[in-house]
Order: sequence, then structure tokens, then C-alpha cells
Amino acid sequence: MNTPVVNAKEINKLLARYGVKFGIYKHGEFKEQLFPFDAIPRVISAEDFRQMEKGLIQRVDALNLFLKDIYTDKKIIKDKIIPEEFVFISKGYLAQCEGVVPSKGIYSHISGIDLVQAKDGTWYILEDNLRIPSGASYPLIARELCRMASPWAFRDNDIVDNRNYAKLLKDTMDYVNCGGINVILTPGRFNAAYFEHSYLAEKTGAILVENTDLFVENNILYMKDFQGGKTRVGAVYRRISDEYLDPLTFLPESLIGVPHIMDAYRAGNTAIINAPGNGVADDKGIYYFVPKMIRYYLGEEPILKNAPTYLPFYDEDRKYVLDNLQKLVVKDVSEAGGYGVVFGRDMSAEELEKWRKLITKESRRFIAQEVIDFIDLAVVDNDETVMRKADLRAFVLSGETTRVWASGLTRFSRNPDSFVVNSSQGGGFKDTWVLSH
Amino acid sequence: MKRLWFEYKTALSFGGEVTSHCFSLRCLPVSDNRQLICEPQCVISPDGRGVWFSRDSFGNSVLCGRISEGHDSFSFKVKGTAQVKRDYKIPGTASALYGYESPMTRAGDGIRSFYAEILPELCGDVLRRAMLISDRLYGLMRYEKGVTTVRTDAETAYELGAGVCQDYAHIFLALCRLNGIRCRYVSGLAYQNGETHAWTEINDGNSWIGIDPTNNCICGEKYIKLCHGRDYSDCPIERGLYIGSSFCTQEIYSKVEEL
Repeated sequence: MNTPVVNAKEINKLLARYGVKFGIYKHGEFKEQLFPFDAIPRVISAEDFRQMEKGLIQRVDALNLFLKDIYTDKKIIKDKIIPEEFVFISKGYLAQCEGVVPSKGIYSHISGIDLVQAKDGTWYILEDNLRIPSGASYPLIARELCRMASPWAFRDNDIVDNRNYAKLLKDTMDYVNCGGINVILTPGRFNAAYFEHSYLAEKTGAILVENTDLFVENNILYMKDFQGGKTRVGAVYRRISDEYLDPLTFLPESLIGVPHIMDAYRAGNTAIINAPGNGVADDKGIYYFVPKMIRYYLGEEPILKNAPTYLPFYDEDRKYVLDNLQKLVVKDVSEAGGYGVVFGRDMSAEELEKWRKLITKESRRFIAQEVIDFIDLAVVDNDETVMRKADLRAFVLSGETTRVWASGLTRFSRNPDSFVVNSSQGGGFKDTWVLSH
Repeated sequence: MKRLWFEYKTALSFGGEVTSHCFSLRCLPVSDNRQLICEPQCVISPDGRGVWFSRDSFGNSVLCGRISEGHDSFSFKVKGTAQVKRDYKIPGTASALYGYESPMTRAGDGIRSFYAEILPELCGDVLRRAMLISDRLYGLMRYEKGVTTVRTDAETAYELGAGVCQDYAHIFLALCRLNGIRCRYVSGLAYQNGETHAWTEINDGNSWIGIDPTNNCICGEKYIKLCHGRDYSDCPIERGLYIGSSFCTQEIYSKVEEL
């Protein structure tokens, strides 16, 4: 790096003022905390990015084809590539979405794909997030502030401009829009990601709304305007999860949903971004099958690798997992956000035995993976540069074409012994620089 | 073939004025291969001007509506005639989604151990196995009102050992699905006057066959179907949401008569 980013403390102060925060549930209590920014960027070479970009486009295209197949013909099940039960027992599979093909056939419009880089330079996919992946606004605003705090860094380093995220997002919303305006639906200002909701609305020109601003009539979604009239809504980038989306279809106790929005969606009168029911494709149990999906739907070899994964559901894999538990990481497929992840190496002999029994008993509930020794990145901690584990969330937008945002959210663990970098676990973040040549 | 006259009414009284009332009703019987519905009428009060039709992912026709003005009661009344075939058989295959447990038919330890107990007896084709399950369940459960609610799931009702038609249906579905039988929950009207009824349909690979676990029998011509789903939560006859008093009483009236 020719010129580093300076004034990190001031940047963090500004981020705090803008409300760049993250919410964490710990012991049943909700706590909001700052999302610390580290000024040393992750740098990705142009060549490395080109390769990653190809791989991500391929992966997201296959995942979108999978979602369409699962909610319509289910060919991949009939052809015995994926066992039926992995789909229908998955919590992310929503029978209420059966038979629905959304506008332009796109299910995952915004995909957040988490990757790590191993010490030999290979990138591995850690997980796919196809429901409501958050985080794009953090590197966006950090870059904006860094440009002000340290303009020379952006003159002396050849960095791809990342300010086009809003354009990519708007293009996607416009492409799937079924007639009407674009809105971003937020649960409200007490949501941990409210900063992101408002920031993206401002940047894309979509209107930020809460559920009470919307209503459905005759299977058409409207926004109430200030004059007591109504404006048709053609695309909703919703930042509330599927189960709360429509109290007349999903959880009846939801107070943040829009009644009948599923009817408008099913009738093809509005696009919901991302489509409800996507959880079936980013289920940790389905992850194992993504390389098979790429071969099945696209007839191509996967460009990006999965972390070596075992499904205890298969006898051979279960035997390997039981024999090698002490060196593997076990994940509960129904948990998200870094929860339900345990490392064999941290277990006592009794715990290992307990887990072996549990895995044998509930073989569909867990996956096991080899622990990837991924690279450490330099992080400034109390004026000292230390090395910490970090991952990368790449954002892939699917509209008329599938495009990868030349940036991303790099999250790092602040705890030197932790491999879990999820922001729900109290980590920090960095800007991600993609070099232009 | 029987000709039946049916009449069905639900009336809700709220503790005060409510507004922004949105509802989804699966209250209109639909013609299929087994039942032919003639001259169905539906009256919604207060005046259902803002009413429209939708279709859910299970294939049910849904009457949707939204009443923004304040009102302290809400009712819908359905009546008409139905020609119903003697054999309860609807041609069609079942999606795999009817083969796996759903939110209200999850089999816990209780249902699983009961299943293990009856498993040795379960032999023969799908219909025979289903009837054996129904028979054992009938011997185990006690019909009793008031011990369960519409939100009681299969396992809880099993532990209680008592319940109403909805509970019988849920436990039956849970057991059938453990046995690899694809099956669904049905809401509708039956010969018994006064209330709506719940039964089930099992799929034998060619058609859906009606089974009524509450009465431990194969359904005949005295059943008028309204809707179906994996369990009750997929297809309530009435589901609504409004702003206002949380106090609400409900009155249901139904009548099915042979013509």
C-alpha cells in the first residue's frame, strides 16, 4: 500500500454519530453496540478478484436456478442429486411459497456470500446468505469517510471505486419492479440495521417505509401517501424476515408485517426482494450440495471451493465425522449468525462422546467441516498492530445480469483465539479494496 | 350421490371499535371431482366492498378483504347446495411437502413411542395402514371439548390424550407421515350440526381418500370440503388482523341437510 488511511479514530467517531451499529442478542437480552472500524483495508488484487467474480456469479446463478426448481418442478430431487428430506425438513423451505415464480424468475436478488482465504491463497466459500444479507452499507460509508479523512490514500492507490453499489441495487429493483415505486421496508428505528435501511433508501432513491405505510387491495400493494391517497408499489426491498412478512400467511402474531402482501406477491403484482422461501438454499445442510447444483444446472465445474464438508446423514461421512471429531468444526444447520458452531478441539473427552451421540441420533441436524487455517489480517488494537482472523462477505446482485460488487464487507474477530468473525459475535470491520490492475 | 343443503356462519364481536381489519377467509366450498357446489352465496358484514379473491400455495381459493372504517362486529355467512359423490376420492398425486412434518404435526417423543408400539401391526397398502392407525388412535383418544385450542399441536394433544376433531386429525397426520404416507388436513362441514369439522385426506399414489380420524371411518358423502393444507395453520377458515380491542367473542353456526 503506497499511502495508508489515517485519522482512524475520527472516522470511528463519525461512524458512531451516523449510528453505524450492530445489535447483539446475548443471554436473551438485546444490546446495541458500535461496529468498530479498522482503517487497514483488506486488499484484493485485480487478478484475484476477476477469478472470485466468475466463481461468485456462477454460484449465485446456480442457487437462483435451484430455488426456482425447488418451488416448481423439483427436478433436482427427481434426478436424485439432493435427497428429498434435506429440502422438506429444512426450516427455510416454505410450503406457503410453493408454485410461486417471482418477477423475472429471480429469487435471490442480493446475495451475501461469505468467503475466507486459506494461507495458500485459495478462497473458500463459508456460507451463502440469500435471505436478507446485511452489511453493504458499512464499507460504503467507511469508504466515504476515509475519502474525506485521508484523500491521498485514494490518489496514490489504484482502487476500484465502490460507490456504484446503490446503482447496482437500484438497477436490480427497477428490473424486477412489477409497476410502481420501489420501497425499502424496515421494522423501524429499533432494528439493529436501521442505519443500513435508511442509508440504502437515501442512496437508491427508494422510499423508506414501515409496515403501517403499506396496504393491499385487490392483490395490489400500495403505499399511503401524505395526502390520503395511494401509490402503487412494484418492488419491496424488505428488511424483515419471512416469518414476520405477512401475518395472514406466516406468524399471526407479527406486528411488523403487511397483511396480504403474499397475495400481491403471488399474483405477480409486486416483487419481494429477496423472495420469501430463500432459506431453503442457504441452509447449512444444503450448502454441501451447491457444487453439485452448479454441475447439475450449469454443466460447469465449480470455480470456487466449498470448505470440505461432511454430512453425517450419509453413513460414510458419519463414520469419518465420529472418528475425526476432535479436528472438525460442527455446525447446527438451523442456527445462524455464528451461533451453534462448536470446535472439536475445544471439547473434553466427555463432551466429544456427548457430541458423537447427538450427531448419531440427529444426523440431519448437523454438518461437520474441516477447520480451514485462514489468513490473519493486520488490525490496529490500542495503537498496536496485531494479527486477527477475518472473512469477507461479497455482495452479488442479480437483475438483468448477475454482478459482483467490487468491494465487500471484511469482518474480523477481535478475540485473538476466535475463528468466528460474525458481527453478531462482536467483531469489527474493514474496508475491502479491489485494485484496478 | 347425495344432494346437500349447507349453511355456515361465523360472527365475531369485538370489545369495542376496531379499524384496519384485514382478513383471509377459506370459507367457500369449491367444486372438485367429488363435490359439485351449486349457487354458493356469501355475505360479509360490514359490507364487504373491498373484497377480492386470491389463491394460496395449497390450491385453496381465499376470500381476502380489508375494512378500514371502524366496526364492532364482523360476520360471514355462506350457503348453497352441493352434490356429493358416494366415494370420497379426488384424483391426483401428492407433492412431497405432504410427506413431511409441518408446524402443528411435529412428532415428539410421545407420538414417536406410540408409533413404535403400533408399527408391527401396520401392514398392507396405504389405505389399510391408515385405517389401522386411525383405529389405534381412536382407541387411545377421548373426545373432549375445551381441553385444547386451535393452536394446540399434535404432540401436546397426544400427551393430553384428549381433544377435538382438529387434534385427532393432527395426531393422525403425524403418525401417517412417520409411516411414509402423504396426507393433508381438511377443514369443512359435516353432517353434525353446529360446528365445522376437520378430517384428513391420504394419498395412495393416484388419488386423495378422505379419512375422518375423529369418527374412525372412511369419509362418505356427508362431508363438504372447504380447504386443505399440511395442518390447521396452513388453512384456517378465518384469519384476521385488526387494530383495537383484543377482546373478541366468536360464534359459529353450521348446518348440513340432505335434500
